[in-house]
Amino acid sequence: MEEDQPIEKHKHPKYLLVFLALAILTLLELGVVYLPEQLRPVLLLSLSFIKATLVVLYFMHLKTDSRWFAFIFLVPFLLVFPMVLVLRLN
Amino acid sequence: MSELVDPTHTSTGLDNRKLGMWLFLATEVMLFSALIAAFLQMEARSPADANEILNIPITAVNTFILIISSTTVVLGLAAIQDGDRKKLLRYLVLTLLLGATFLSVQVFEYTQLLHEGLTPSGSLFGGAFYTLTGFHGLHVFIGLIWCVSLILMARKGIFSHRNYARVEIFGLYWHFVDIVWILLFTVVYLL
Repeated sequence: MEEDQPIEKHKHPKYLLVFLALAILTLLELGVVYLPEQLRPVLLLSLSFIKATLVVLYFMHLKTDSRWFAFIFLVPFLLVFPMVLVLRLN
Repeated sequence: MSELVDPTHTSTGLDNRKLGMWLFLATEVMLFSALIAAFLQMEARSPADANEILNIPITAVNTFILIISSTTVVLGLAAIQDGDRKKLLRYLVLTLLLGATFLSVQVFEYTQLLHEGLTPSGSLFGGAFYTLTGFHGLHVFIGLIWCVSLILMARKGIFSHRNYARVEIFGLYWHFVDIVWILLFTVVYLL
């Protein structure tokens, strides 16, 4: 029976550490608002990019899962970048 | 969705349900990219102080709430992967409560903004703001309904250390909704 067999413990990423990192990065983002205006866009976008990457790699398991899932998820960004670029240039 | 089909016997060797969800998330990337791009265009054609009406402190708290809810989902998944049904249920309920709190705070924020004069049809910025955040809110709402259905299934003891794919797939969707908010918070409120 399923319940009689010992359950093999999964090796889990350190989710709470990732959460801590996300919390700290969010606090840093709030701090950036007090910095000079020229620095804000680069810093804020970098911090939010790091946060998104942490969620994708560890919470969504892209770091350990099949590369196909990463490929599928990243392909749209190849379309997004030119779109944003064209809009900015306009 | 039948749990009896062995996912490793698919032609790709990948679980079809997970593959389907990642493909769906790829389309969601296009959707939110278009909405964010449109928002930025409308904001560029609005007064420079258009977003000063927005409440950063309350939205920062809301951002934390959503990040915590992403954590509870993944901890719930980890729990059922180790066979702990009770923990899974607890984490799913926590996720539901946190998600509902997020939406409630959003609704409260909307009522405040409408009262202060920011309306969907009143300005370019208003239209763009409510469209972008509204679409995100709709995704959160759909996620909450999905979470309720998972809670009902978890209560029946459907999930186990061998059968947790549906929890994982919900997790992928919920984390994506969180990522979109991470970006929205920066682009709409902070920049």
